[in-house]
Amino acid sequence: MQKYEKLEKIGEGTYGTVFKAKNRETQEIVALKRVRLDDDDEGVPSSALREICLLKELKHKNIVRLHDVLHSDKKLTLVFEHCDQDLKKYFDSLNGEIDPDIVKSFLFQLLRGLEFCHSRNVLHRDLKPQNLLINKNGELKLADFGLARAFGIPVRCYSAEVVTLWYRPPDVLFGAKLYNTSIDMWSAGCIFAELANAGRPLFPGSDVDDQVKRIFKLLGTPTEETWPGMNSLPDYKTFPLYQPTMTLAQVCPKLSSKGRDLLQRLLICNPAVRMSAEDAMLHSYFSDLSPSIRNV
Amino acid sequence: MDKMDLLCCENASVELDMKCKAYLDPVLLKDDRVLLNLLNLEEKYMPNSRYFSCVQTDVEPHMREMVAHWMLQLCQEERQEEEVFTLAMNMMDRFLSLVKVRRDQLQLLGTVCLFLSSKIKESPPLDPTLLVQYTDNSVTLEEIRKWELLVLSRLKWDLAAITPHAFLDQIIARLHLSFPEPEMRLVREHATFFITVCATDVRFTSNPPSMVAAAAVASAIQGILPRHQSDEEEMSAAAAAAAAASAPISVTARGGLTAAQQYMQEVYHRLHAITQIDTDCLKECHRQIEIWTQNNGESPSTSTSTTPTDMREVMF
Repeated sequence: MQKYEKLEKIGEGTYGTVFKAKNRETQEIVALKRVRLDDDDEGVPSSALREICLLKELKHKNIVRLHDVLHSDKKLTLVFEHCDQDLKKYFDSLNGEIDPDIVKSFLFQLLRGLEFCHSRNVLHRDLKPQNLLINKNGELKLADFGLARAFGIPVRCYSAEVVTLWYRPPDVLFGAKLYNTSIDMWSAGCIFAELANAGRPLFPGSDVDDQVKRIFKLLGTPTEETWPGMNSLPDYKTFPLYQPTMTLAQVCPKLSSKGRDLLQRLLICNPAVRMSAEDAMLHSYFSDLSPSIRNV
Repeated sequence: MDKMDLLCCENASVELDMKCKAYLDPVLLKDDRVLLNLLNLEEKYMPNSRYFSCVQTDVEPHMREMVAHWMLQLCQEERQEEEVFTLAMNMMDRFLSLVKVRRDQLQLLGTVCLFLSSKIKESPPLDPTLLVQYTDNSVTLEEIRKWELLVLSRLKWDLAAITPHAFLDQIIARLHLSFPEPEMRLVREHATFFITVCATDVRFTSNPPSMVAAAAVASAIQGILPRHQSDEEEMSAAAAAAAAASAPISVTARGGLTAAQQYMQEVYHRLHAITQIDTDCLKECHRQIEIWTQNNGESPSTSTSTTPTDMREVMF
């Protein structure tokens, strides 16, 4: 690896170690994701393969850029643009305070990245603060497309590993194996609330049942009327008919009423009615978004 | 209720549903940018259709056909998604457009393309040990590993090619057909069958995937029409209803044309509006598919049974 000088280990990704490194020629700082090609017969891991061929198509300011792929017999190195930290680490540095304009900016950029993916037939499927990278300029970028798929890839056998529990929509929690862009929109809603509360997760469930319970307690248990088809989902279970005891205003006290309205539309249990990324970007919550962010 | 009935009596439909595909997504189907992006991108992934004369010296078209049928059979026996085969053929054609191979390497190349394609489109992917068995041990695991990296690097890791399958739902949704649900399923199944057929035949490699998809849909619709044709008036009514569904088209009786012919003209007209492909090119591609079905026994549309299983038998 003469082209890059390794600087430090950043972390472990889904399928390999990530290093910060410097391009010796251009001095550019990059992130190297190293994938060992062991002697087992599987060859290049399919998650790496998908991430590479999807990211090569997804060139967008709110999606982490894959610069290059280097390979030898023994290992594969993915060269990514480097970002300073992920949203999780950013939350940890906040001490419970966040500027509402930053909330708005980050959510808008998240939606813009998602909208681009969705318009290219790609679902991310694993959105969480750890997979959102931010840099010093306040730019937010979607990363870790190891579970992403082009529309049309079947999802069987995947359901168990898809989307960290906390950001998982109720339809997926009930075993829906048929899902679409709405999966990412639920996660975006959860991340929105977490942003507004400076890093306090909205639904930190400990297992699937607890996760569903937390969601229904806040939003009210859906009925076959509000969510036709819910009863026939593979893992559907009856839950008590919770009536919402807290309003979103209590849950996200620092969020403006427009922000709460948008959050409400993203956190809809019935996936068919959940708001799309494109529509969310047009919501009046963003009417006073700084042009410098909108037009980047 | 119709759907339930279908599920009960048609095994093929049950299988389809068991495969847990993402359901039709209005966000993806209503948004014209998705279709536009597909149309803009497809060319990037097309092979050089003249590679047999420009690049290859040892490999000949009939060998591609043999390997293609072997690959297709493997995919069917292993119950792979239809797109696994089509995508693998795309990789193989693109590799053959760039690299001269010997005839004894062609099956290895086909094996590796299936392996890669199943990693992208299926989960879990095809087991390489199983692939070796399918070749009667004529390729080794070591060769698969080596050639995987070779294919990846020559194709510059651009594996997520646009195949005709990606256009199928986009086109069908925009045609605003007025067939009842069971026949809509048939249109989709038959079109999928024709797309697979086209991937086995080297003559279709010069056609962009959108054209193959559009022609496959036209063939499928044409095959469905005789069911309605018993009553010419009913046909005209169907055509008129279809026209009404998406505004500005009038189906008036034109001299000498049967209702079915009129209907197909309307279909071509809309396919052109959707894909921007020249109508004559579409008709030529459709004609090629019809020729193929005539040369290879009965077409799925004239066969008495219409499940995909039967269509497979037509192939072998």
